[in-house]
Amino acid sequence: MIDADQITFASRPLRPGTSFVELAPYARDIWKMARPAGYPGPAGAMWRVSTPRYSEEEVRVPAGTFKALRVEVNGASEAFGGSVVQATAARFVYVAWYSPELNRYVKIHHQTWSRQNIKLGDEVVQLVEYQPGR
Amino acid sequence: MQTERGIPWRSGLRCVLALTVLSCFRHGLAADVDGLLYVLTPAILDRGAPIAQSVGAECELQEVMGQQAYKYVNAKVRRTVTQVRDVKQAGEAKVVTVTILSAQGVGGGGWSGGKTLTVRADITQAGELVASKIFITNSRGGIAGAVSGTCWIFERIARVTADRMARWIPGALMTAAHAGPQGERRVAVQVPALVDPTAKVFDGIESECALPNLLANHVFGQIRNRYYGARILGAEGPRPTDKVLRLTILNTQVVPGGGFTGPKGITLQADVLENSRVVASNVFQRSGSTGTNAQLNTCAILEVVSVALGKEVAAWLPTATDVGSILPAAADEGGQDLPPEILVTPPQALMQAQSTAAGPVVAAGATATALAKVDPQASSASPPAPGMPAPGTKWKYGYRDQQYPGEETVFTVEVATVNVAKVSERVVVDGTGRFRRR
Repeated sequence: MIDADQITFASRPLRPGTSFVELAPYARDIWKMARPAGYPGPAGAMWRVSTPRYSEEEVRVPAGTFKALRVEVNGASEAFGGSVVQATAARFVYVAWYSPELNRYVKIHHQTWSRQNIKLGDEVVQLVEYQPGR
Repeated sequence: MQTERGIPWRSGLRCVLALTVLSCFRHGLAADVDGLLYVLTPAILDRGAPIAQSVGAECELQEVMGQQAYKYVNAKVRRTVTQVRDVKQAGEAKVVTVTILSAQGVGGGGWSGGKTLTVRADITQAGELVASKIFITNSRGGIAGAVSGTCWIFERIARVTADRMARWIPGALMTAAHAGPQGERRVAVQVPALVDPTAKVFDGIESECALPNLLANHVFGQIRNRYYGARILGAEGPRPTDKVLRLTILNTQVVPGGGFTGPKGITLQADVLENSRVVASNVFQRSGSTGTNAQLNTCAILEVVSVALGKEVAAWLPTATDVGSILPAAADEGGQDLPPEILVTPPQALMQAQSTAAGPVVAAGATATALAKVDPQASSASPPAPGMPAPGTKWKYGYRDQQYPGEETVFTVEVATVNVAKVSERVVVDGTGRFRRR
């Protein structure tokens, strides 16, 4: 059950070893949120998350081209002096494109870097097909 | 001779070019009205706004606010943004108008404490309200505040307000775009609020705080946040299908002297009228006090109390009447808009009343009385939230981590049920494959 009024990050598992990060998939009033919470980074890490930046944009995905609200959120781990393991994410940039026409996001681009600024992840989720309901 | 023959030819060519350019420009404007956004400058000063002469005239607050609004909207909204001096110049396109409702904390620059500016931003199109939001910005002038003048601080506040406004606009337009028609049964809020003749009020309730105006505006702001199509009742009066929300200040609990003299409170009666007949009524009471910042003045405290009362009234409204489309409650209400030092006490249940359409006719301006108990079932039926998908809707996505080349994972999200804003969904991982390209 997803509460569309909760503007938080959540990890969506797809299969063992594969999951991606979603921010409020239904995006109801996402633009009213000052700072989303719940970024699922490494256990114990505190994240300093930016105020989202919004803009209108046309986005092209395999399902077509859509007018969308682009939401960009940046974050950095506040674990000063903490883990220096290279494979641990310490910074992220999360961009999602929400289509009011389809009532959901049509694209996500989520990038993460280590404390040494080594790119760790560059995930893309794109809408491939849409089928309206009853 | 060459010259004589050349002139008409060149002149003719110029005419053709000019006409083509004009035609294209005109066609472009007509074809892309949705892509245009106008900003009215200067800002409008509300008739009841309590603004000292020194701020209104010396600081040129209307001009400053209007220019900052244009500057930030132009920079942050990806549309063709133009400033106009008259709404009529915008034609059928959307116009942003900024109305200054209040500027508090005047005189003495930064030494005399924080300044607060309250504005209402309205986006209208062909006379219809598309979106509206009230912004309250409070500042002491930052690091240099203590040595800064009043106008400098207000200019700073105007910049911050304009920035917030510009960030709000894209989302507000998106919401309006998919919220659909505004519907017939709309809530029209009577602004300003009435003051009961028997109410205990304090000196300056209107001249200094403009409480009836600010309170009614904040109630409207909170209602507009939730019910798409709500509007301020204009001079033309209500439409036959409008639900009129009439607000009456029954009492104020105020000892002048700002935060030093204890909590300030307001008792407010809200009546819903249909065809001049009261169909529901309720009384709300809230009070607020300053925490660590006793410098905040009485009006600033009462404004925060007004916002809290607005939320109460907005939450009560659907239990009292059919309000049409419900928008989600604003996630950013409160905190970032308001001076953080003010503590608002929990609501005190004074009276809850509602009647049927057979209730007594109450003339505008009179105080309604308690009518009956609230029907507990009235609040249980909530219409589905706008912008939510229908059950059975499917989105098929492809996921790939481009950092590690490999096949993409394809999965499908299907909506099982929707209960207001709660979505139950099924996710099926279809397997791996390649992005289907068009």
